[in-house]
Amino acid sequence: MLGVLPGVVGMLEAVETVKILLGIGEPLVGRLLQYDALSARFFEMKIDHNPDCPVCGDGKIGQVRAPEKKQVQVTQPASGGCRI
Amino acid sequence: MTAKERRIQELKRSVAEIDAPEAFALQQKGAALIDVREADEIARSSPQDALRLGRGFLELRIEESVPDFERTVVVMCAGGVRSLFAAEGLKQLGYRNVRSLRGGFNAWKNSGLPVETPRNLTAKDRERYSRHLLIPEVGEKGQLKLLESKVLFVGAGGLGSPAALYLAAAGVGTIGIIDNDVVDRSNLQRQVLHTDDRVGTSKVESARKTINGINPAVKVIGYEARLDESNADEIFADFDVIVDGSDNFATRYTVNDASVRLNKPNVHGSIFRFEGQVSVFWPGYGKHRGPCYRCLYSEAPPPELAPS
Repeated sequence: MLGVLPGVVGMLEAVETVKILLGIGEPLVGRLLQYDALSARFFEMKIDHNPDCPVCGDGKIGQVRAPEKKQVQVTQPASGGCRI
Repeated sequence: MTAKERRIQELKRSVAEIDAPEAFALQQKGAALIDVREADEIARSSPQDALRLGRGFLELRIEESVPDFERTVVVMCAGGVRSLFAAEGLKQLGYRNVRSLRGGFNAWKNSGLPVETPRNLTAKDRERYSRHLLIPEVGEKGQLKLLESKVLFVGAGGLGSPAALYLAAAGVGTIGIIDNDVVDRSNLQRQVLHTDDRVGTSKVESARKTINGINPAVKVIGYEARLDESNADEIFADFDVIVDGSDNFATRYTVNDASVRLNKPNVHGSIFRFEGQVSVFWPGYGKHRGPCYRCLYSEAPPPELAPS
């Protein structure tokens, strides 16, 4: 893995965190920001709340419960298993 | 009668004076209570939620805090004399409902009304965060917020390292780090919290040293553990924001589920080859409910699909 890439992503996380703490600007809620290092491009994808989500579906927020096994797969995660 | 006494007599005729309980009642109904004492007096104690503008700059600063000239303004000093002068100044500025607190802060305290010890930036803080103080969106108020904030980093690895470094530098007062790993030489290519001489030592301790090297005032809470369903809620409960820098799907789901349960913003980042992804999963935010990680990916892919 290109060692500088997590630097970019970690810094974007840091900026979002500071915004949330200060209560300023527009947080990256409901949007997935993708950065492609090779083409040097950012893409933004709108992502929606799923009313049938096993964890945050309607009426479930704040309840302490184990997530149900339910298949509402949208896509496979594009990433995640590598050693970060 | 001295000139001072004469002037005070005049002010007592022109400025409406009220007692502490009435001032408190007005404050509860939305009036602005303005503490005009000197900074060293205010630093010891001040009425709860008072605006601490000081006598010297009062007329120059009040409009920013109280833009509505019709709003009731209660001015308070230590004993009720300085506030008469201040109240007169505000009336001349155009405030139409100005009162002076009779007996000042002494009367407020003696009536058993709520006080607080306001937190202020020290001279060193002002120096360190001077660039933040220049931006109106941060300023002294924002910097104090950051200093009182608690952010948890799940993983002191490639994502957590730069984020924790900068948040420590920015003055986030408490940084929690959960990681059960030790520093490996192969980590150093990207995990900038750690150093060559710490290979083989705990990542949490290494992170603590680096963070406190940058900013000794940051309180670092280390958890040398693996995050799972059994400890997530307890650890998360104390923090304002969770920064997910984990390197496996199981931990990401744990971070997500606990964040949703406790309504904490989950700042998510992930990397694959030359591509990075960032989002904030926070279904409790705002009216238009955003998704959580499971809205996107309800189940973890089988381990054989996880790239490494």
